[in-house]
Amino acid sequence: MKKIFFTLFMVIINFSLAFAQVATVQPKIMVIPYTKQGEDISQVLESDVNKRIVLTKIREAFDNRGFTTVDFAAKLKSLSRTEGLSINNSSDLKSMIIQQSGADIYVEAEMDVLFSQSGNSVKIIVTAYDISTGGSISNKVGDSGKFYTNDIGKLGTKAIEGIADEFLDVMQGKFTDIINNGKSIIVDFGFDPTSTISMATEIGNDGLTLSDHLEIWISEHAYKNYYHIQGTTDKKMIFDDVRIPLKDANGNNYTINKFSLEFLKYARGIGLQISRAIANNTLVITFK
Amino acid sequence: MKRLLFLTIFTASLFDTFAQYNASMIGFTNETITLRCTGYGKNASKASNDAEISAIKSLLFHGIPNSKYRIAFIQGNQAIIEQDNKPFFENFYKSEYKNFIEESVIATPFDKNENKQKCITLDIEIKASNLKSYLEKQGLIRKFGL
Repeated sequence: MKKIFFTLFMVIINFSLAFAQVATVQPKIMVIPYTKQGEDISQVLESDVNKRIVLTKIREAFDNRGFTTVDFAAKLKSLSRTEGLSINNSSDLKSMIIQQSGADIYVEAEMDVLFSQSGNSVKIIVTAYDISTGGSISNKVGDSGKFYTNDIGKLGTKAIEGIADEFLDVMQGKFTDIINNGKSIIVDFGFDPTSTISMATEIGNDGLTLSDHLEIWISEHAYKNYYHIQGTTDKKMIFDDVRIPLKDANGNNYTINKFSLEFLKYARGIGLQISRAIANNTLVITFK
Repeated sequence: MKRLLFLTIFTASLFDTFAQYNASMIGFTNETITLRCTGYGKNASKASNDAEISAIKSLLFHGIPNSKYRIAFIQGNQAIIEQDNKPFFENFYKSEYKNFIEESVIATPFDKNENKQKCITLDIEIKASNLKSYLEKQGLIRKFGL
């Protein structure tokens, strides 16, 4: 009897540990150089070793926190090979790399070198952007201070080292907000052109319209009941900020896809046919 | 009178103050931060502990403006976080926090203030970098990421 209880106890413990060990999916971050309109990003990187030094120092700051970034140079080479890009469309290369890199966040570093008789200095503007929303996650301006040196790489390093920690701390603040309050997604409800229903159609036996059903469902499934309705028309209902948790009740990673699957089950349950499309953090649901 | 008022405002503006914990920043380095903090208690020892804990809490939950430690180490609602991690914080505030106090120097000796409250003011040097690493190891904060 004691052996049975002990075995059962060990099974329960191992089960619990298995759940506790589910690693949270981390955002992918890529560090890229700033480019002006029409500039070739590959040329910018290849022609200036000091910019490469600055990018490396930023990546080092992430490495020091145990976080691996997406290798921009490798992605650039890979895309140049597979896409066979010509000089004519090289100005779109940056956008293409950002979209196809699989990165969730990109960190852009702009370097400005100031030469003067009282010493040279480097200013660096570092900005982190959320690719799905285009929103800025963190911004810092670093200044090396003036020195009588032509070693621009060293000045760039000094400028970065002065701000790297705080830059990453601000990013971490945003991540902590996601952990505590959920990840923000957009949910866009619309109708197929051939659909015979609208937001005002009564669904079910309780006299509630489709839009009522949708709001009730979202309010019940949004993390901590956090959601915001951008607007409702007869043919559209857009929730421009719905929070979903990082983990489900079982401690497994929870994604926008899983959220959409839950809605699919719900829609079928009330006799509605839908199609789903997901792009970055936006879920588009179309009623048929 | 005007001169006194100007002097008071000017002196106050030299320090960044955090009213909640009566903490003012004196200075900081890459590894440490020094805060001037007033603590209250029946005797000098209790008041000193109060001052030190207030300084630590300022760093943990509020951040120190115009310093390297501008952003709070632990972000979120302080009351909820302390409640959710009760055993940790009970032990930490009892004794563990002292491992991260480099030095406490008396700025104003233990005495009654104008409100007849017994208090002491200390300049407290906190090993901020070590404290942050400790919180990361304890799982209170993440080094980086989700």
